[in-house]
Amino acid sequence: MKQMRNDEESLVRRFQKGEERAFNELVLKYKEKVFNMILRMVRNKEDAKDLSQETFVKAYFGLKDFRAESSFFTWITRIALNLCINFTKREKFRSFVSFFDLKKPVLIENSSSQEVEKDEMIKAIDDAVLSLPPRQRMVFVLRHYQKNPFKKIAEILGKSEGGVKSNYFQAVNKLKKTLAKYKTI
Amino acid sequence: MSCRKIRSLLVDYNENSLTPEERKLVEDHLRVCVRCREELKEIQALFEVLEREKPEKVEENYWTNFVPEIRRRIESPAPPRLIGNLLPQLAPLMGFAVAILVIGIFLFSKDYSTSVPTYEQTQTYSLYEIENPVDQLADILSLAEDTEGIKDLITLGNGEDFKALNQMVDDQYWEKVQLEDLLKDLSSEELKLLENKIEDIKI
Repeated sequence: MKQMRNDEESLVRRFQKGEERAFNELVLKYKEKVFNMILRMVRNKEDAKDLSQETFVKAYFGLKDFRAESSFFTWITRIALNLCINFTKREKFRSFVSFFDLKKPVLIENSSSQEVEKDEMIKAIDDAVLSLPPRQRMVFVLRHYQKNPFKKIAEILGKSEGGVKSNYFQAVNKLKKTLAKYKTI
Repeated sequence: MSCRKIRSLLVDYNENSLTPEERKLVEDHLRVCVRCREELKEIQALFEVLEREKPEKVEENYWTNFVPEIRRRIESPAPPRLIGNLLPQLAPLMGFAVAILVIGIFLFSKDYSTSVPTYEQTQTYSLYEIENPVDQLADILSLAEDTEGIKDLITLGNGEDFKALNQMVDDQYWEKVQLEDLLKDLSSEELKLLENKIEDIKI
């Protein structure tokens, strides 16, 4: 872990000294982690693809001022999460204007009833996670999907460990009520 | 130990992340408490449902083109879109939304002397954008329902509690209005719809 942090710091320093290729290496190092986290936040593959690239574009322009008070990955995670929250709020605004459901429909052709039920379940999970308030959604994604310890999540969000634990607990409570219909145990 | 306290530990118990002492406390309680056992079953059922999600695959050429696409965006940022004459018309609507926001902060804030801290590394990025008044009111009401979170903060037991509560309210409801950013994303058809809607709204 220490070695990883050293490599990261070295790449950031090299970029800040003018080596553009160092930034490319940072992108290659973290692109999949960032994408997977954004995908869990916005629940749409095409939007996640776009937002992932946008995250690194914003990081590029901010990196020269980066002061390494946290790790680069913590910093870029914050950028990604902010973009996700802004994105979903914009989508809500758009749906207020347009009065139509912006969730892209899932095409189901000639599927067995089990497959249809599964797609319905996936959509239900998507809707349930998207309906969580922003803070709870961020904490839930960082904890459940990214398997971060609470201490790390607190550092990423700039909050107390007790606060993020409380957010996670509330998120789980909301989700278990919303998704109770799909339980099998 | 109370059921309320036990239930706050059940998620960690399910994830096997309690200390041995906490684990024993929970298990002793579960032996005698049907309601908490039911609660644990519901939590286990939720995670079983979530386990059925499969990771989505992304096309290989997306990754191949990832860095070149980022470079392209860096070198040629998207041009700003024309917004039209909507700003002056939306101003009263936004004023109403801000009024709801202020009422919400007033109702849920106890320590008016606490100033809003700045975020050193994220202040370049706007955290939230203002939503329509109905959504904003729904958010305020859901915070009122979210009393468990508020109670947890209050029972922390020290003088920082109200500051923490105030901070929570500020974080969730203190928003920078970036109307232009919101409008930029709308198509011409959507802008027209919005214009028509504004004409119908009586404030």
